[in-house]
Parts: sequence; structure tokens; C-alpha cells
Amino acid sequence: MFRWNKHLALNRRIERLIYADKLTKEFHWGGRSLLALDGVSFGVSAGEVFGLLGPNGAGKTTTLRIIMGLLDADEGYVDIGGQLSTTNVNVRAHIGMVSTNDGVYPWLSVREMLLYFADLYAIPPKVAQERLKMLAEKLQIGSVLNQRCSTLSTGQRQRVILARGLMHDPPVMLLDEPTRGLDVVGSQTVFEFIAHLKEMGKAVVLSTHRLDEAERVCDRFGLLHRGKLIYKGTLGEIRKETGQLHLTDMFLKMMGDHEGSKVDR
Amino acid sequence: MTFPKMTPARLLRLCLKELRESLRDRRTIITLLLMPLMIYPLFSLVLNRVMPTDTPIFVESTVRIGIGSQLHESGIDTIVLMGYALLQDPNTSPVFIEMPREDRTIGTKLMSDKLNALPFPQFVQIEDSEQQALRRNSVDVAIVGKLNADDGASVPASSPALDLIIEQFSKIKDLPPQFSINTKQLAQSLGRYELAYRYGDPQSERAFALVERSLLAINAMATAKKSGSGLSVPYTINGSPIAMRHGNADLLATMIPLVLVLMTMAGAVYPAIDLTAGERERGTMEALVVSPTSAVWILFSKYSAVVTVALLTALANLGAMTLTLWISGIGRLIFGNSAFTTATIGQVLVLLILFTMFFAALLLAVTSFAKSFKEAQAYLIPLMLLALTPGVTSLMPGIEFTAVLATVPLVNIVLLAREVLQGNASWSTGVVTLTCNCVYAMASLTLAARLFGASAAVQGSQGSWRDWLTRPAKTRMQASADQMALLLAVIFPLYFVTSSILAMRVGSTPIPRFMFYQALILWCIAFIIPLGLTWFQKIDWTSAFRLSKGRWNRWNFGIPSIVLLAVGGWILQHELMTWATRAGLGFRSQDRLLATALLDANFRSIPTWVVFFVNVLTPAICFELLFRGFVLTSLKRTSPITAIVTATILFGLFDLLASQLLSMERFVPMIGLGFVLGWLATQSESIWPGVLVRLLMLSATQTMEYLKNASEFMQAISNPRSHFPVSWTMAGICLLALGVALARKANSPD
Repeated sequence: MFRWNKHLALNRRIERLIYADKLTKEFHWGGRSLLALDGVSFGVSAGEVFGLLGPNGAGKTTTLRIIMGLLDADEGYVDIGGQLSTTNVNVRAHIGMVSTNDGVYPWLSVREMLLYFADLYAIPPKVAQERLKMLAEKLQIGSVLNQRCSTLSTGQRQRVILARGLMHDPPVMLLDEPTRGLDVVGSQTVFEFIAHLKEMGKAVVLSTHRLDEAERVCDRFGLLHRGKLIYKGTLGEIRKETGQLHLTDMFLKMMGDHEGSKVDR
Repeated sequence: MTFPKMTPARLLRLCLKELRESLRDRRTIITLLLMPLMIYPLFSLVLNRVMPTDTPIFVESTVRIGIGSQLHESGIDTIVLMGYALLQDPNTSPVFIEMPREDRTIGTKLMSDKLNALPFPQFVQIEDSEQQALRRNSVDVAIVGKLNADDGASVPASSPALDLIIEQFSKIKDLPPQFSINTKQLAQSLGRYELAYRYGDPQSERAFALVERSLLAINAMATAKKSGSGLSVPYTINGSPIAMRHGNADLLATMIPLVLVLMTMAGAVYPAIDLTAGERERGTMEALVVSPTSAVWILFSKYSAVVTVALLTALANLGAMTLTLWISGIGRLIFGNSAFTTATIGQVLVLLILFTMFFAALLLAVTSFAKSFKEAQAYLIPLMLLALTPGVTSLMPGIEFTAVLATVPLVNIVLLAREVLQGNASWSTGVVTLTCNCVYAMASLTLAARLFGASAAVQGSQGSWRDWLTRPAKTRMQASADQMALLLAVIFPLYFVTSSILAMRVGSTPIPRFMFYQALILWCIAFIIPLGLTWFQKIDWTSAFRLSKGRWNRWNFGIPSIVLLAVGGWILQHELMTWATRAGLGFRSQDRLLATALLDANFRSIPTWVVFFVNVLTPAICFELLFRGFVLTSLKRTSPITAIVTATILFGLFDLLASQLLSMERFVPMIGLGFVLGWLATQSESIWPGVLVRLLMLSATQTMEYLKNASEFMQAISNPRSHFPVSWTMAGICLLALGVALARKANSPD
């Protein structure tokens, strides 16, 4: 029995770089409680972009924080490349996270900031310099490396933040609404970045409520609504299921169906 | 849970990033450099205004002239009296007033406007320090000593001036018999004298003027007939303003370190907010806490940056203050000549470093909790007010720096700095201040480490202040390190204060009752309070205090090992204590010396069971419960060696305070003992083997106390200043090693 389970787990790890199993999280404050996640399960393979979609308050950020090991799930677990993220802090070294709220250090130069994060991830200085050079070229930030972060434009700032998330070359990338507040050009940079991550074989979870951009870059989707993953699959599968052409229509139908089923119950 | 290994080079890079970020911020530079440049000149202006106006009107008809210990046999009192007699004589008195100004080589402080009527000089021989006598107000002016004979006038024994003086003196009638002087003494008395007085005190200045005039009268008499011949004047003086009267000097002497401390605080505030709450506000906190580097290291790098910036501020302030007070001359007036030596400034700097270490940790603990700059400022305003209150309290007149005040944060630094600047600092209060500040800093830092970054991920449910105020749902097996640190921050000063208050009652309370109270305090501090914490925080108390029998399965090895450890430990403890005593590490406060002397004198009259309960059973159980139980288990997450060393240092420091004597000589053997007992508790997972070792050792010490007068041999070995024979020491080491080996055996399964 034990051997069989181990074998199964190993196979699953090979297949899915990220595996979230029945994640449940409830928050309590002032005598009230909120079920933020209710048995959420999904997996993401290497070279795949998984879109975690849902309106504000659906539980997207909570899911990402549990994957990072920043929050403990009340029930369920997250397996990253064969290691439980909740018990092993070193798993964090294999995850990069870029959030919409991320900022920069205004008094440091871009170079200093990126090397600081390399130090936080215990990357040897020589390797860090090489990574910096490569990322500067890839994300076109070579010209601003010696510039103070406070002087960067919004687009440059966003590219620097993306570079920060990749300094330690993580196999898993979590993007929490990375295009919020960006204009068309800025968003385009992020899309190119995601495509680049996919090319590099990274497992990417993209949390967003912008369905148009999800449709453009994600391979598979998970629709989160009030803490529940009401659907997961490819665009074709959802299209077939809902009979709708566009993701926005599909999403609205799914949410309506879910609300309806709750009323029936 | 493991983190990537932290190397010194990586840690240095992390610290440098924080420092770079802080120092590049213009707001830091403003506090660091501009504030001191503005504050201190302003401060000196205020002091200049305050000092001369805050002085009483004199009415006394006599002035007390102190004669320094070097001059007791010099006859200078007779000389001054002679001069005074010349001043009284209407024929000779006016002569010096008619002297051309350039000939007035004596001093510069001719206060003829205040010297309406000549007061009568009263001579006092000063046995100790002239400066202290002036500060105590037991003399009005002090003739401190004779300066180098080459510096100023020197007249050969047969000079015309001397002949003149002798001739004039022979004319003075009715000289009191104690004021007699022979020719040789007179010849030797010629020269330059240092005259100390209290600046801003009219009575002292009046006394100064009287001495000055008296000597001037003699000079005038001796040189009047030879005016213009180039003859040196016989007596010259150097005025040396020492200190103001006690109250004013104390107030200003406290105000200066207080300003220094407040400025240092101001220097630390901005970086502390920027590096913690600022991280949240600009959205970099989450990226920090998701990194695999432990929050403790990240916080340490921030702590080092805050401490460095605060220290740079302290240095800038100390430099600006020293320069201002030196240039304006106020420093010497307030603190006397002792204030501005390099050593004194160095000591004040050390105190500021100590304070910075504590306050930076406290600031980080508070600002780590805040989610924005605004929120951090809202938290810091009450903290600053709270810090100001004891600081301002220390300005109150007549506040003496006692050992109890040495436990109060900020007050202890301000008052100790005042004592250092006045040259009155004592070791005992210094050690208490040092210990308490270190403990407070450690507690604040662990608190900060707990709070730092926690709510970046969690909205208030984990790692917040609420953890200490609400009972957790689940029972835990041991306290956390931050709970332990907070507990120690409470019980260290509490124990010291309560035992000091008890020591004051030593004469009025019967000895057995006094001893019983001592034991009661220790039980409360070391057991009852931690027990209360374990109940409130739902910590399994048998596990937290290691009360089970642990892993000691083989008592046939265990019992002999306890005996061997106790005997070997006792011998080595005595040797280390003797070494430390001979090295001069011991010092004892008067209250505590009295308490010990009374206990020693009444030792035989105290019932044996009381002695056993108070001096043997209570310390053996209480110290093991607290340090090898509660403290050591709370450090379980660290490596065993780190846990043992930390618990041992804390044990040594607590014993230093708890020994009732503040005996530094106990610290060294207690560290050795703490290490062995810590190891034993970790090995056995129980406090009981350690309790038994301590019981045997303390019983041996008390038995020696009973038998010390029984024979010469017992007297010799119970003397804390005499070493045991070398063979005993070697045997002690062997017994200890054997005890350790057997203790390891006792742990192994049957």
C-alpha cells in the first residue's frame, strides 16, 4: 500500500510541478468567519500557464499565498516538485512571485535591488551577475540598471519587478494580477514575459480577473467563485461545456449556474 | 523547516543594503547631521542664560576656604591669613588697588562690586577630593595644589621680596598660634596655586575673591618698594571653575545626557520606520517574506542598519555637544575638569551604544507591527512620550542613581551618563544597567522578529500582539523563544527591585523571616510567574519545565554521575571563584554588604531547616525550573549548543543580580556551572538530575559555612581567596569528566 502510494505520488509530481489538493482556508475575525477556500484542487505542469480566474474576493490571492507557504491551509496541501510547501521553507527558493502590489526600493539602483534579491535567495554573487545580465537583456532594462528605482517609469518599474521574480531562476512562477494598472504597452511586456516563461519550461499560475488577457496567454483555466473552483479545463473544454464562444460569457454562465445550483439546494 | 545557510559575507551584503538605503535618504541625513549642528549651539545659549540667573543671594559672613590634601603642611593658610590681615589694615589695604593693571598677575576675577564687606576666612582641611568637597558645598573655595614651581613666580630663599614679606609678617601682632610659619616654609610657599571654585555661585566667587585679594595684598606689599625693578610677584593663582552648586549642576549634568539620548532616539526613529513599515507601504515586504531567507536574518540586517544610523547620530551629537560645551566653557563649569577627557567621552559613547542597541530593537518591535508610515508614527508618539517621562523624571532635583533606578530603561542610561560625566560612576549600577539593557534589547528583538513581516501575509491572525493577550486554542509543549524573552524582560528587573527593597529592611526584620521572604521572592519569580504564563498560554507545564524523569533509565549510572558531577563541579566552582576574586572582579554595594554581614553574624542562630530551605532547596529547584526547564525548552528550535549557551549566559546574568551582592566574581563559575547543568538537562530531558547536582553542591557550601571555624584546614579551604591544592583541582576535573561519561551512560536504553 505504502509503495503504491509513493509511486503514485512520484508519478503525479513528474506530471504536475504544482499540485494543490483540497485546499481549505477559513478566516476568523471579530466573532465572524469567512470561508476563503473550499476544497480547491488543481495541478500545473512544467511549461504550462494555468489561469486562476475569478472576481475580486474569490480566493485567488489566498490560493497563491498558500502555494508560497505564507499561509497554512486548514485542510489540504500543496506539493511543489515533490515537496510540501507548508512544511519546507526551502520550497520558496523554487518559486517566484510577482504581485500587482509589488514595489521597488526608491533609494537603490535597479542593479543593487536585483542583486539584493539574489542574496536573499542565496545565489552566489558571480551567478547573480550573470543572471542580471541575461535578464536585463531579455526584459530590456539594461539602460536603467544604474538608475535609482525612484526614477523609473511605470513600465520600466514593472519590468524590474518581473526581473526580480526571476533572479533565482525558479521553476514555478506565480503571477498575481501582474497587469493591473498597466497601459497597453505595459501589459504587452507582461504577455511577452509570460510567453518567455512558458518557453523556458516554467509552471506558471496567473491569477487575474481580466478574462481577455487570460484567454490570450493561459493553456488551462480554473474558475474560482466564492472560494470554490467551479470549473477547470482548457478553453475548448469550457466552450464545449457552456456552449459560449468567449471566456467572459463562459465565466458568467458558470457563475450563474453555480448560484442557481446553490439556490436549488 | 530549514533555510539556506547564512554566510557572514551574505549577511554583510544584506546589512549593507539596509544601511545604504537609510543613508541615501535625505531625511536621515537631516536628523544625522543638521540637527546636532543646530541643537547644541542653541543649547549652550540657553545654558548660558540659565546658569548665572539661577543663583541664590549670599548672606554669610564667613567663607570656608578648603586646603587640598597636598597643601596641609604648606602654610598657605597662614599666608592667606596674613594677606587678610593686610587687607584689614587701612594702611596697607588700598595699596593693591593702586597697582597698574598689567601688574595684576593674580587671576582675573576681581569681584570688588560684590565684595562690599570682607567676610572672615575659615580654613577647612580637605581629606578627599577637592572637587567633591566643592560639589558637596562643604567648602566655598579650594586651594587645590601648587603648580609647577617654574610656572609663574619663583623667588630664591634670600630674595629681597622674601625678606620684605618676612619683615612685614614680623610686624603682625596677635596671630593665632595655629597659624605659624617659618622662613623655610615661607620660601617654599612662593609660587603659583590652583584655586577651584563653583562658577555662578556668589558665595564661592566671594571666597575666591577673598583669597585672591589676600595674596594680592602680600604681593603688593612685597613689590611696592621695588616697583619697576622687574621683581617677580611672589604669589600667583590659576582660577579653576569646577562646578556649580549641587542642584544646578545635577540638573544640567542630567540634561546633557538626556538631550544626547533623545537625539539618538530621534536618529533611530526614521530608519526604523522606513525599514519596516516603509517596506509594507512601498510593497516590498511580501517579496522579502516569500524569500527563503529567515525573517530573523532580514530583521537582523535592518536592526544593524538602525543601530548604525543611530550610532552615527549619537557620534555626531556627542561630537557637536563636546565641541559646543568645550568652546563655550560650559562643560567644565557643569561637570568640572573630569568631564572632557577622552576616557569619559568614550564611556558616554559606550552607554549610548548600549542604549541604541536597546532602543533600536524596541523601535523595530513597534514599527514591525505597523502597516504604514502613518500607523508607525501613531504608535511611536506614545512610545516617545513614554520614554520621555522617565527621562524627565531623572531631571528632578535630588534624584540619586540607585541600583533600583538602574533597572529602569532610559533613566538608567541618563543617570549613569551623568555619573560618568561627574566622575562618580560606580561599577555596581553600571553592571545592572548593562545587564538590564541587554535583556531588554534581546526581548524587544525577539518580539520584532515575531512581528516582522507576519501580517504581510496574514491579516492579523498569526504573529501579532494578540498572541500574548488571548489564550490559544491548542496546547503546546513548550514556550516560544519570544515568550521566554518577554518573561525574562519582566522578571529580571522585578526580581532585582523586590530583592533590593527587601535588602533595605535587613536591620528591621528578623533574620529567619528575612531569609524566608528572599526565598518567597525567588519562588514567585522563577516558578509562579512562569507557571502563570504556561497556564494562560496553554503550554504543557510538565513539558515546559522538564518535570518528567526524561531519558534517565539507568539510575545505577545516573546516581554516581550526579555525585561525581557535584563534587567535581564544587571543586572547580571554588577554584574559578577564587581566581575571579583574586582578579579583582568582585564589588559589593553597601546595602547588600550589610545584609550579608548580618546574615553571616547570625548564621549559627538561624534554624538549620531555614538555612536548608532558603540557601539550598530554593535556589537548587528554582534556578533549574527557570533556566534548565523553561528557558532551555523554549530554545528547542535552535541547535542544542546555541540553546545551552544562551540559557547559560542568561543564568549567569540572573545569578549576578540574584546573588544579593552583585558579585562579578560569581559570574565566571556560574557560567561554567550553567553550561554543565544545561548539557545535563538536554541529555536527560529532565531537570531532576541537575536539581540533585545543585542540591549536593549547595549543601556542601552550607556545610563548609557551618564548619569553617572547626579547624585551620577547614578555615583555609572555606576561604574564598585561597586556592585548593593543584591535586584537588586536577581531581575535580577528572571527577567532572567521569560524571559526564556516566551521565551519557545513564541516558542509554536498558
